[in-house]
Parts: sequence; structure tokens; C-alpha cells
Amino acid sequence: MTKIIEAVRQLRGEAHAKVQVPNCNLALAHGTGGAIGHRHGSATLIMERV
Amino acid sequence: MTIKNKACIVGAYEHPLRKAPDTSVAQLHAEVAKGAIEDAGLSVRDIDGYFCAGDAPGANVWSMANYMNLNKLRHVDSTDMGGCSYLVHVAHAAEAVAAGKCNVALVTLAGRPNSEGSSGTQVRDRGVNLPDAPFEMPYSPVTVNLYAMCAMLHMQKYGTTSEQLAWVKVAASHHAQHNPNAMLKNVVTVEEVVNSPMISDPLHRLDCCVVSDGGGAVIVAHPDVAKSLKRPVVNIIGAGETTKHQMGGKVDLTYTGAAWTGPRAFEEAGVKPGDIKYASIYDSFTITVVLQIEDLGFCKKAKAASSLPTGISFPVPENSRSTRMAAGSATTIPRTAAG
Repeated sequence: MTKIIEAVRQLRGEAHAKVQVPNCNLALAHGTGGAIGHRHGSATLIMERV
Repeated sequence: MTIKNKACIVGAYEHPLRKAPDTSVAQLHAEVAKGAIEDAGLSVRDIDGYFCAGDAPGANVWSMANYMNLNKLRHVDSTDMGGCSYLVHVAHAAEAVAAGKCNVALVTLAGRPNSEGSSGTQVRDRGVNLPDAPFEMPYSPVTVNLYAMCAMLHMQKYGTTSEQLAWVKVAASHHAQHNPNAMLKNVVTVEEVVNSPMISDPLHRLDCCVVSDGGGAVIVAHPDVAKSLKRPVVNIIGAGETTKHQMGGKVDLTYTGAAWTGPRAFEEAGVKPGDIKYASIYDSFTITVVLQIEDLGFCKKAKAASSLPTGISFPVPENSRSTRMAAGSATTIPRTAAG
């Protein structure tokens, strides 16, 4: 969840000035659930500011 | 059918608390829901889709829908995919909006693993009905060991070092300086990471994420709704989801499911890894970040770790708030990390 929120803040230009990527119009968020050592889920999301 | 440009993220909210012993999990869910709805400039009466995972009390949609009085729901989904549940929810919400099943969907996550004493070094009783339980539980697997195994293999196969993994944590600590709610506020050095207590060889304490209370929520809505709100429009343009397991015995721990979900998401979005301006990468352990950056195609296999000591920047800017490694977010699942 925090990965999505971080990406949305970057795309909106709302991140702290020290970490805001200039003209951030394309972002990816990726997550892992479970444990990579035996079984896990993976999900990727790509978002664009228009 | 594609979800590209069919739905937007119109609201997002992260709970400020990292320890909330006196707030119920249900109240945390409601508080993040309220935050995201207000961020979007919408009303609770606009919500006609609700998504939650196993962290929601009861692990169903009805208890929280009842608590929050969501009484206009026409699409619900309580898919549980552990820590990546909410990314799956956003993609599924986009599908539902594209199919006309709902117009404004709420996704919530909240938990109190910090207050409740959860740890990634505890053996979790997962019940006897899981088909893997009789074969694995006698060995008492714990979360950190299951990631340490992958880190050890990465070191053996590619020559990755503890110092290289430590740069993930160093970068996270620098980024966390700019999050006022960060749990760990101090910048750490590579030396401090590699000299922190060994938890599960080769992962030290500072290779592991913090365990925190809290939560977050997002609102996914139809583009017409997004255009009516006074906020920058964030379109959802691609997604991928999968599960990777033991592959009928052909176990290969050098890659994660990201190697499959990344290409699918890029194909749907019509973009390449090099086009991405900002990557928000799940950071349960330092090795998790390294594997995912490689698998998503931001660099070649075995190259992520060796590129780290060149600075605190990754191939693309990554994890600016460092919510898990240092800042802490809520986990739903009583392990080290999720969400």
C-alpha cells in the first residue's frame, strides 16, 4: 500500500522537495507478499500523470 | 480488454502513527479510508466499491463495510495476496471500473503488528490444512530465514556482498529523513548495517524492515470522476500479478515473480523500464529490493547490488519515503512485513 501512496505522491509532485523527482510523470510500484524463499505473490502497477 | 487509461487513482492517504496500541484495527482502517476520501475531495457516499485483504478484521468485506457504513457497495473484493494485496486491489478495481461494476472504489490496509508484538523471527502457526505444512512446518521456517536463503544464494552465485546489500538500507535511511513520521530517523552507514546483530545469515538486523502499526488507503475512480476533482490526474496504465512457488520441484530462488509481472505490466502500459521516472519497490529486506530491481528489468541480473555502492541512487529514483525499511508502514500479516 505504501508503495502505491509513494508513487502517487511523486506523480502529483507532492513528495518532500529533497526527494521529489522533477517532472515525474511515469511511476511503477511493485510488491511482494508471502516469502520469496518458498511461495509468494507478486504485483506490479504502472501509473502515469496526465 | 486492457485497464490502460480506464481508471485513475484519485485519493491516497498514509496513517501518521507507527505505534497505535490504543486504536482498534477497525478504527485505523476507518481513519485511512477517511483520509483517502478527503484527499480525493469525495464523500463516503460516493464509494460503491470496496477492497480489503486479510488485515481487515474478519478477513472479509462485510465487517469493515458495516463499521464504516459503506451502504452503496455494488462491487466487493477481499483478495488476500499478503503484502502485495493492495497493488492487486488497485488493478482489480481498475478492471471493475472499466467493466462498469463500480465507479469509486476504496482500498484499505491497517494493522498493529508493532503493538501486538509480531516478528519475522517467530514461527507462524499456519494451520494443518495447508498442503505444504506437513513437509515444512517440522523445520520451523520463519520469514527472515526464507529471505536469508535467497540472499545467501545471490552471494554465492553472483558474488554479492553484505556491504552491497547494506546500501539499500543506507539509501532508505537517507530518504526517511524527509518523512516526518519515519520510525527510524537516523541516517545509517554501511558499517552500521553490517555490524548490526546477525539475525539470519547473511541478513543483519538493519537488513530487515521495521515492524510498525498504521495503514494506508487509496481511491480508484472512473476517469470522469477524476477529471471532476481538483487534483492532478493519475492514470493506471498497466498491471501484472502472479504467484511463484516451488515449481514442481524446480526451485530457483535467484528470481521472484517480478520477472513475470514486470514484463506484463510494461507491455500493457506500452512503456519500458528505462521510461520509468520513479520506482516504488517493496522493501521487506535489503535482498528483496535487489531481486525486484533486477527482475523488473531496471538492470541486468546480478548487477543491482554492484551498482548500489556508487551512490544512494538506484538505476531509477526509488522509494523516496522509505516506508518500510526505515519509516515503517502497517503490516497486516503478523510477519515482519506486509503491505
